[in-house]
Amino acid sequence: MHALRIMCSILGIVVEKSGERDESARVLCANHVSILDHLAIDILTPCLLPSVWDIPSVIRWCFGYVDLGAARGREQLVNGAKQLLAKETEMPLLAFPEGIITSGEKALIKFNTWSFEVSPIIQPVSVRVWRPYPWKIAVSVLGATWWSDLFYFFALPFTVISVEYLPKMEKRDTESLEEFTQRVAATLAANLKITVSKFGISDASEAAKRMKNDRERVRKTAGKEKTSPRLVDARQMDECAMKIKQSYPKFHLSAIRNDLEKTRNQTTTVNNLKMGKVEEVGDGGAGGAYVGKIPLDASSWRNVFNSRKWNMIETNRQKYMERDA
Amino acid sequence: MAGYALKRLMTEYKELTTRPPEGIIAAPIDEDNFFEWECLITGPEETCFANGVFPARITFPQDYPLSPPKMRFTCGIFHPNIYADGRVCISILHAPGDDPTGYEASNERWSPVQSIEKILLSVVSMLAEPNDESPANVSAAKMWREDRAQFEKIADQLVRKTLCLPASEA
Repeated sequence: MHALRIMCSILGIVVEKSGERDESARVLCANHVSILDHLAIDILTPCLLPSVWDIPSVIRWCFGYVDLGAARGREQLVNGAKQLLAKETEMPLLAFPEGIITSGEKALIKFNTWSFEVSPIIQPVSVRVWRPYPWKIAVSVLGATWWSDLFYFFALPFTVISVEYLPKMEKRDTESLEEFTQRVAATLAANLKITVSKFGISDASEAAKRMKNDRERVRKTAGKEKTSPRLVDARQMDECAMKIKQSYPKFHLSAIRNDLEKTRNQTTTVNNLKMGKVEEVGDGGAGGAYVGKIPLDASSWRNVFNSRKWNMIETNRQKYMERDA
Repeated sequence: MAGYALKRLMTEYKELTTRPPEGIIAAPIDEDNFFEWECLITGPEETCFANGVFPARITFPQDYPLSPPKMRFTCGIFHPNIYADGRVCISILHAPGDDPTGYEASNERWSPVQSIEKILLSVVSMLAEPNDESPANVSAAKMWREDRAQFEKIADQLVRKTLCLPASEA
């Protein structure tokens, strides 16, 4: 463990300890604020950590995680942990019942009960991480990858991880597994001066996914706004005209479509509408109904069709709205 | 063969342009290709499709009018006789002997005396009166039969979309 200590001091990871480790508790249960929590606790008390993450096995080995088969289900995990504790008489098992890294500043994520099923005696451990002022970078952010978090650990001059052992807690006979889990969570939360969230890990990963999607969508639409691709064919321009009409209903569709024919660009046409370069409905002109004789020349019939098309939509739109009113 | 088809299509184009039937317009998409048309159909009055302007494409075979054209709505219409991808399934578009559903009388089938206008008029009446005995879209037929209110709501949303109106809240 001295080797680890030296390594950590070179990398700028300082581990502070307070409270006493109680040997009679075989399971440590800690809140999860960074990917190196386990390392910090490991320096103070060598312990076992079942791997519940999906990380490459080489890295798992480096960090000293043991594979208890969490991927194969809860039953497997609990049995595996029990067997391991029976075999290893010295080392306790370290569990992060939150199952996910949090900021540790707002609330604890609802605890998973598996580690409380392994042993009825548990020692809660609270972990806090802080970085000195100019490097106040969040230790872990929602949706970040484990290697980017790790990078900041190494890149910043130092990070202080303070670990506090709380008095051990024992499951009462009258208590159910859930109640005991909640009691431990409440104690830990009180120590950290935060609350216990009613959301579990699945809600958190759902939120992370949603945030990622939102961010991607925002980026995509932002890209579109800027470039607003050149409209190449009639069909694209028709679609675009109808889209613009939704936001600028005062303009006749054929007026919008005519302007698009000139600009070939959604943003430019929208700007033209805003600046009053295009006539509004009621002024007649641009898009009046196709009246008069149909020319004999077949090549002009397409224009007749287009003009009828926009009028058909406009008149039906009018009728629809009058009908609804 | 294609020459005759072209001549026939030209005649129909002229007819549809000079004397357009109420609420229906159609024209070749591109002057260079008379076998690919676009058309707009107004939803029949007094139905849940009323005032909607539904765009569709019609594709003609090289041996038109011996073989019937194919028609496909491009607006995502939800209707018992229209497949989810927009293809229209009505008897007038099927040649005699080619009956995918087994419910169609052969006098309603395609024959060279039919025309684009007759097809489009049939489609309008199909919109007004769906035939749920031989549905192309089973879930639409089921909803039409069992939950008419929901069917009408979906139809109304589409009508609004085709009129560039924002989706209603209700």
